Amino acid sequence: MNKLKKEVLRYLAYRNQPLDDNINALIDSTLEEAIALKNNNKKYIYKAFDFTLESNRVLLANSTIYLSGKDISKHLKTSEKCIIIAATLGLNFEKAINYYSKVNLTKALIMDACGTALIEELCDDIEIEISNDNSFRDYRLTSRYSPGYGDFPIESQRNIEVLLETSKTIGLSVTSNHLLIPRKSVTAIIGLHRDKTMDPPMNSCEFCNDTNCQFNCKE
Amino acid sequence: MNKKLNFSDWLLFDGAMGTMLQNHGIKFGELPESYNILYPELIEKIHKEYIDAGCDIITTNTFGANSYKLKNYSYSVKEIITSAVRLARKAAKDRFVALDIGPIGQLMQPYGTLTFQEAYDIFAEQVKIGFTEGADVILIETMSDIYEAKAAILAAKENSPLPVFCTMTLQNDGRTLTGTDPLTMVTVLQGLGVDALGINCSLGPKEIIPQLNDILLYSKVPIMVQPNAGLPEIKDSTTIYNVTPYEFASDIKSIAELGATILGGCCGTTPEFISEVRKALDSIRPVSRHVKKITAAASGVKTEIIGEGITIIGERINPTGKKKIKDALKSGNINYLALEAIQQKDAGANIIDINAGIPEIDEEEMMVKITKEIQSLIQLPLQIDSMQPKVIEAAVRIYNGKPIINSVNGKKESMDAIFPIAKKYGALVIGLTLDEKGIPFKAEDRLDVAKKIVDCGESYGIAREDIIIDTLALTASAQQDAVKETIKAIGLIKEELGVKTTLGVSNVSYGLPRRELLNSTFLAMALTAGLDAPIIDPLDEGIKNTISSFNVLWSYDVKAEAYIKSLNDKPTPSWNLDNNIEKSLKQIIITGLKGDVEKKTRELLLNNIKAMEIIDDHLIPALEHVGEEYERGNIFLPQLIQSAEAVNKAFEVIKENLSSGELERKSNKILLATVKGDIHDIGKNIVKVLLENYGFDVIDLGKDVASEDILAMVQKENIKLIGLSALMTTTVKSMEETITALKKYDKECMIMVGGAVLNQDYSKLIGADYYAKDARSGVKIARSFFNM
Repeated sequence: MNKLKKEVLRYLAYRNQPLDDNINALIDSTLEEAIALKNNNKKYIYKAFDFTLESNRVLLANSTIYLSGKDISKHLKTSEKCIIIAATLGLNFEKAINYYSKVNLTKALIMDACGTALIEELCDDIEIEISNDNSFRDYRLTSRYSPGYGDFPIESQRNIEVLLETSKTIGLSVTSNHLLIPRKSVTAIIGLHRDKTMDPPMNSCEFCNDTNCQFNCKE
Repeated sequence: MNKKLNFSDWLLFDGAMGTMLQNHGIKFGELPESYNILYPELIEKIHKEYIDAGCDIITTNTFGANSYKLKNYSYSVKEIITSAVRLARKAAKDRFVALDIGPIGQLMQPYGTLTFQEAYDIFAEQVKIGFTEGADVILIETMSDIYEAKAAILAAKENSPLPVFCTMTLQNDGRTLTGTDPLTMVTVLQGLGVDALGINCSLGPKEIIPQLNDILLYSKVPIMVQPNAGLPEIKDSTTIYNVTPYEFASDIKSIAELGATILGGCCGTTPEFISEVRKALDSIRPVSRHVKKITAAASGVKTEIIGEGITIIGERINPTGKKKIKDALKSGNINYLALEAIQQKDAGANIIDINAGIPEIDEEEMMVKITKEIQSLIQLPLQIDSMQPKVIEAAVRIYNGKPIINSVNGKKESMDAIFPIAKKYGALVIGLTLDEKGIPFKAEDRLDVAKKIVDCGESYGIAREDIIIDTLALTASAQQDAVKETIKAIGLIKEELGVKTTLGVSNVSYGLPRRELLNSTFLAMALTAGLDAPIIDPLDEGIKNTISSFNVLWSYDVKAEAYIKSLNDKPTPSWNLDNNIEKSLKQIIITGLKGDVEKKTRELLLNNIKAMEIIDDHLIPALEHVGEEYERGNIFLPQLIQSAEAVNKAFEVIKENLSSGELERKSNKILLATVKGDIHDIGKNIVKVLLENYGFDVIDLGKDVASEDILAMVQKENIKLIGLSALMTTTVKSMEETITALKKYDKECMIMVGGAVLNQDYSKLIGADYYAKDARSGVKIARSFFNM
């Protein structure tokens, strides 16, 4: 089974139950459709910023914008620059989930899980692009850190929207409740550092405080 | 400003304000519009530089000056726009000032949370201030969402007499970020009566040229183009553009030579660029374009051109003679109506007609709801079908795209009521060939009525290509000789008036046996006579066959490819019943074979197995089995849902085959909603399916539901158990507010909550009575609540 399908199953809270042909085929065909949607509609943008580290916030250079919280400051402690990323699978993915919710809820549920897996995959691809980018070749990357992790406020979505003009550039907007729309979207901060002793990036689940999580990513 | 815009000459706009401010050191996070107040000299200086570069119109520094974007700043919309227009006015002298209006920055419903009315109000505020301060033009620009553009255009036209220009921004794939293509853009925007339309931003002039083809071909109004100074490239945190002023001007010249007349620059362009463009334009004259006139309806993302092949208008969403549709309208079962639309789409319909006219309901409210719901699910254009002008207006106003109005007729009263609506909202309109004297018998007399309709439409400013004539099918059983006249009228009207035609086909067979034979033959006759858009039931096999064979014989289906393919494609159910025929219904449900459930249930009913027996012996045990298996972890969620959907399918079949009252399932009502601000509703949908399995009467209010709407429904239906979902910490707040409102109304009503961020303690804290950790526990709570 490929990595992507494993991820989809993980988001479906799958625990190695026997997969009958019926459900297996539905997962395969939905994933195929989801991958096509991703390939045709994905959009992303990132920019690199210098910054000044303060005790519990980070001031981005040439801006009036702070990234607040002890945790994001800690995350960028050894970094010299940070990269701010926004990525989305696009509105058509949203429409597909919405459509299947009406005609085939099982498929909608699977499509939703595919979206979660695919937006993570897209972010991984962007990280690879960044690490292959000549302008950053002297640096190593920290893991991705997103609004809502630790004490990095979810309200920061709005700042990222402003910095990257995501509404205009990739069609990603933030609601007044700080939800990203389309839903299958991610914003994140990556630090660029030269500290060879630092551990390689952690899985984003490592930062997560959710004790109820059903996705058993730490198992 | 008294000078009038001269559309027969070039109109040169300025370049980017944002780029100029960046060059002057504006930082990320600073509000560009605040510079109108903080650094007025700078803004005035920039305007003057553009005027010195030779532009005819300058744009106010108000791109983001809307109440949503200004919410977190200390400036009001009024302060910003007033100062911006005054500065521009001062700099402009005898040149024109365009009030700049950019997108709000929030996605609208159904995918976002901003309503059409909220968007309208935000734009209206900007327009009113800009107009009062003396702007000459309203420029709505960089729009990605054509629905938002519609709200802005209506706000501009209803709150000022100024000319309105509208440009949208396209991506490399030739669509806007929300999926609008150039043809749809033209179809919708010019319908709404803009004075100029076109493309700006995102791309450089070279990339924009190929996107202009459809716009140049179809736009009846002047075309405006404001490209970026090339494709944006990001270097660290800065966006840079690589096209030089000279190259830019030479590309703009090419664009002008293709037929665009209103030009300027977007991101990355400076006075130098505009100065070069001025020089380039001064060396040429505007060219005239040949505009192709089409009859076209559109959704926000798709245009259907009528008259190029057969356009099928699906007629099924109409209560006349259809009990199920009537019931769905009465009970507000929008879901059922939406599925009717989806079925027709799958059967090949190109446009869906919606009629919600039954006396028992508020037709206007229902029509608006259905229109919104169907538009959120399928991309086909819709046809708004009502006898009441106010219902039509309410629906076409909130419609996303260019709808068809069904219908106007030759009566003066009808034309005076309908044409102003069609004109204002840019709808196509179906004209019925009847007037005060009734339906004329002779084709020639129907032509006269059609001519009267077309002439009157033109007097209201409606182009004849926006009128579709229905020559009216009379029933062969009552007026046999009139059938020929209907057919004859089609050809006559097309030839004499040059308009497209439509016809409700099935009326012809009313009162006769084997109606499908008559319908098919009549349809073939009408198509041969030139019928463009039959209004039919696309699920009817006979009709389908007539159309697919007509398409071969009339050379629409080249080499009969579609015809042959449709005959070879046997319907393949996803799961072949033959392998499962031996399985019991119970086993089929447990395996989740949704396709087979329907067949098997029908088979049991045919064998005279009683409904209650099917429920008790198959459905309930199957439900119990999968529920237990799920709890033990032997199956996972998609399998549980698949079985649950299968059970509901079986119930549907059983209900269809019962006379009312035979199946007594006590109706315990439960209301479900995803709270205001939250749009994650898949969990709620899962709970709904499971609750329905157990016979609960679920009233699903959907997602992003305001507490007032929940409370109103609880009061109306006297509901005692309410299920609320919220996925995000930020929306649990609105869950809490909803609970407070409900408890204030009725302490007795019980509330269960669910969602990823909730837990037992948290749900207590916000005042909920029950916490459902998953859908199964929701069912358990409901069952124990109702003592089941």
